[in-house]
Amino acid sequence: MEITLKNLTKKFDSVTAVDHVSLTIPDGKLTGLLGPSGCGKSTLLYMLSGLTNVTEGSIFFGDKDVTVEAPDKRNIGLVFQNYSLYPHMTVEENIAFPLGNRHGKDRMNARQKHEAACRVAELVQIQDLMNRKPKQLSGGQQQRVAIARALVKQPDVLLLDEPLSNLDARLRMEMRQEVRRIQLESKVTTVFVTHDQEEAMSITDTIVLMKKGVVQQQAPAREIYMNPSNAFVASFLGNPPISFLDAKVAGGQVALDAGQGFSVSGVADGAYSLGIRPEAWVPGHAFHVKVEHVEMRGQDQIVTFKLNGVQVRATLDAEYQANVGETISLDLRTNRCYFFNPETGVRV
Amino acid sequence: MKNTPKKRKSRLVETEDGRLLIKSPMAYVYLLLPMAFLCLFVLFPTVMAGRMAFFQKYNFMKSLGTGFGTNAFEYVLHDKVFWQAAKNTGILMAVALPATVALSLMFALLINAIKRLKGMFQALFFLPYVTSSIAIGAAFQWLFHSEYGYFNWFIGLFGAAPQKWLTDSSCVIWALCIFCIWNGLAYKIVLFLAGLQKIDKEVYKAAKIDGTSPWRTTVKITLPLLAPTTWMVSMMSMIYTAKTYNEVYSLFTSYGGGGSAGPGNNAITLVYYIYYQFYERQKVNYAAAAAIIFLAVILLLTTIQRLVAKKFVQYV
Repeated sequence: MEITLKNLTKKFDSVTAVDHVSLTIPDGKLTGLLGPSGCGKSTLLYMLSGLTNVTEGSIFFGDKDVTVEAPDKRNIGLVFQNYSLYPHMTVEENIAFPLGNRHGKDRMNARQKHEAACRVAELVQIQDLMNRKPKQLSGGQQQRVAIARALVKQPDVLLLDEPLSNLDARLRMEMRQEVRRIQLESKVTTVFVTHDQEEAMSITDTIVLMKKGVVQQQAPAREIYMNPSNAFVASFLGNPPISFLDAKVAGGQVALDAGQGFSVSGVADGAYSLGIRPEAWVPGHAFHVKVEHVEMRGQDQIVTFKLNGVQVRATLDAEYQANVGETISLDLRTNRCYFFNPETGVRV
Repeated sequence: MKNTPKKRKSRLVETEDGRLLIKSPMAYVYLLLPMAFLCLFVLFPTVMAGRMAFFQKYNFMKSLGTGFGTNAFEYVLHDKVFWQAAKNTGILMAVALPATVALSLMFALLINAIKRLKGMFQALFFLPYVTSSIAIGAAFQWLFHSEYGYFNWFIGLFGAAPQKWLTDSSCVIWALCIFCIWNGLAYKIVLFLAGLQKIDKEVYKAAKIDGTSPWRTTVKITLPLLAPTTWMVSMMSMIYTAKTYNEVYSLFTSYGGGGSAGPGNNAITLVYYIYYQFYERQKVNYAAAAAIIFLAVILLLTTIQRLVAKKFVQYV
């Protein structure tokens, strides 16, 4: 089910949590709502669910306007951050609970409910835990139960609110693959909220990056990383983060520290904020910089130095010898450098 | 001088479930004072009452008894008034207790469901708890008045004939029931509201997303999750109801006169019977015997409760 948002706005008293958001969430895909805390991503998700009402604008599921529709009329599955399982019910009772709300011709008997519960339990691989209580499960297993409960009624849209934030680092890696697998197998349109860029980039089909209630960019992971639309997008994605420094362009030449620079094409003369991804740097000859700090990460190392009086980070191969205090020579791959308007932050 | 290492007075002990406890002989010192009070005001009177109960005659002022035997128990167990008291207490347990628990649960659920004026209703329902039973009794005496009372006016709306609530011997126990139901509400509502507060609100959001009706939410989610509170309130009220005395005193003493519980002692309860034997009839040994019997019944009830609780109540 394709979701379309038109000028969606949510105000809490004087605070605007979501500010005129218009976007389309593609059918059958996994979309990540990404942003720092307080950017309105969870509010947006809860507006999709109907648990939070809309101040202005509209939400369409397919062709149907659901802006003022009650949560249970939207046919959605919602997985809460803390799972919100019913603590007094077994796993099977938890999963089958939503089915008990059906009336009339949709009413299901005990056997049908059991079968439906088993089917989704198999999908999320918890078929051996059906008689346990939530308290007897690990965090990851509870998460699976919560997803199963959300999927059992075959929703048009599956919403996940920070689904992995309560898990430890290893389990988080495992569960994010699982969320992806479950989504691909069930083919349900899925929206999940996260503040973790790595999580969003690793499993989503498309990322919606938000800041202060405004959508900054919507694009697939590779696109949004390689082609950020503004300085915020560039700075939010990437670890270690991108470095910004002031740069002047004159006659196709970018002048940096101590007469060092590089040439660009298609950038008008003027002052810019230059964003350089850490991986843009490679060992070479063009730039001579003094190493201030080295952070070994195993597969690579983060080397910090000053350029134009600003700290700049470079990720270099772990085998490259860089010692603090030494001067090293580097080249710059200009396709990983981005020019932004220094006032507005918009990509040039 | 001997140079033995000083014996350590307190030490850390790890329990089976991994908690650390400090074991120290000082604990006994701290416990001494409360224990002394407990012995003086609970254990000693209990033993003395037990002793009293086995004398045929007992002078309370001089603490002197004559004629050791079980005739006080025999008297009490053959006393019609005692059985009247037992029957009334039984009626209170069977009617007033479930009614007051159910009503307070219902009111708590309703108060919990409203958004506006919640604080006002909470305060309103808690007021009776901080009001003197005697004052409430005086108010109920008027409500139950056979000519001017609101109860008769109310049942009159349904075409029922006016009752002599406080003077007709067949009516008094029902008047007492109504009074006990009302008087017990306030505290239980507060306990239920506290129990409802403890339930995770997210669970209700999950139920709402799935389109669960309010009724199903209440029956399948709220009530099971409230079960530990309901159990605790029921158990507490059970003991409280068994001990009913205040209500009888405040509702009937000024009517019945002479300290009897309503006309012909028809509203008497077990605890009131103990009071009645002691103060009204000066039969100290009968009162003591009744108290011992009452203690045995309470112990039995408590034991059953504990066994049932172990089996059926899950704390999730």
